[in-house]
Amino acid sequence: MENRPISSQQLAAMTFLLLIGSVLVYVPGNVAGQSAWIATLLGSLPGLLVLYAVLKLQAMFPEDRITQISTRVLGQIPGTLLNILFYWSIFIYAAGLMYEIVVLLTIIYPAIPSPVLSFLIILTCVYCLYLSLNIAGRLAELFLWMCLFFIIIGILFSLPLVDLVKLKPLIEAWKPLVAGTVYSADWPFDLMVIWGLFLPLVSGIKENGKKIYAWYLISAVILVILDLQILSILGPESTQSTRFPLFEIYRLVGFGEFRRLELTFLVLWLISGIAPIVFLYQGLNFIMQDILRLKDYRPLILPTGLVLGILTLYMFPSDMRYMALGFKYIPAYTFPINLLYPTIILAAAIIQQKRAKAKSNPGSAPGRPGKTGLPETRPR
Amino acid sequence: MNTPIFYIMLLFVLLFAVLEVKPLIKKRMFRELVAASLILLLALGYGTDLAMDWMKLPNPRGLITVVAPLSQSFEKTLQVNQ
Repeated sequence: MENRPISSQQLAAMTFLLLIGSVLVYVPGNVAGQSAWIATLLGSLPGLLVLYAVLKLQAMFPEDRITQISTRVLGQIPGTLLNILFYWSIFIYAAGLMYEIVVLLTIIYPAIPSPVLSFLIILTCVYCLYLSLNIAGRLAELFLWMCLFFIIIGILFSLPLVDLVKLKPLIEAWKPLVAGTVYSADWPFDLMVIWGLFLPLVSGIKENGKKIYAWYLISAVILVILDLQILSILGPESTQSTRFPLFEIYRLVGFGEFRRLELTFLVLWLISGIAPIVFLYQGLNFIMQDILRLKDYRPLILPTGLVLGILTLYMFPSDMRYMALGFKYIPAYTFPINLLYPTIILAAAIIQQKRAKAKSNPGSAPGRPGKTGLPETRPR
Repeated sequence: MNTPIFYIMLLFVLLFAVLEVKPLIKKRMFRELVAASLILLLALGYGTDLAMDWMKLPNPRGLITVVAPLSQSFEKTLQVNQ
């Protein structure tokens, strides 16, 4: 039996928590107005490409992480440079998500200072990572159905508030729709690139790879339904101006005198909010381990956690700063990096493999007329 | 002065010293020890800067705003209204 701590079923559950948890605080593609749900649907396509690229790379190099494959196929210096860019992209995602969760918790616990809330989350993640990576997988497997239950209950409870007229006209203008598609592809769908770091630890990926695609598509459909729910209740303008639209909807839900149901859903936010931070945080440890060529990532857990917590507070001292950076500038950096990073490595790996094959079977490569005098492979 | 940040930094340094330093020295993994200590020092530097409200160190936000022109032209082209 393979000695790999995460099963493919657990990775599928982690995919669900990563996608759902990253957007519970935000409507992906909300710049597209009432067409945000279409933007989310279209935005899931680049994520599918990223998922395909990391799974394909895993099939080609089953024992290596994407950061190790990068230096292997691109060379030490270009590979490390790309890894540094990738590290920063994942760091921004982790810091952004941390900030969002802390803001949400500050609304619920206004008396606790935000640095304390922020480090309570980080210490929870540190505890989880120190126990082993298997814990992250089991956490996802355990909470998958609970999260699904709360999401379905939330949708059912808010059905009486739905007003489908708010979704019209379907596509007012195509340009904001394209922008919304890019934003939703960036966050959360391109986050799938993080699995390039975890796949060598997953068992049975060859046999059960379809499960990961299936849970990716289920998560995309749920996100589209959540978008539809939010837009049809709050309308496009309120969706854009409200800090936490889904939380706002659960505030509106109630039966007669029975109100304040949003606190019931707090467990959903805590579980699905912390799970993506655990995965991104562990991803940062893996990338740093490979950049610095260390034998073990465990000594990096505490220092990286402290850096993440401190720099989140340092970079985003206020909501205004975060809004300007988070929605305007961050996607311009993270979207191309997370889309191109696995794609470039996959292309380089395929080219390298073809060259190696041609080298091993020089007779089988078809020769081009007029180039008989040239060597078959270029010298490096 | 932001006192909770100092307590948090102290907690992390103590945890690191207790959980990591001794095993790393025992296993003679000095590369790991140096790398982790440097990252910890970076965090302590930024933490002190933040807690004392000096804000003297370069803000990593600058690495994000580098892409501002690209982002602005994207928003202009696609009529993004946020």
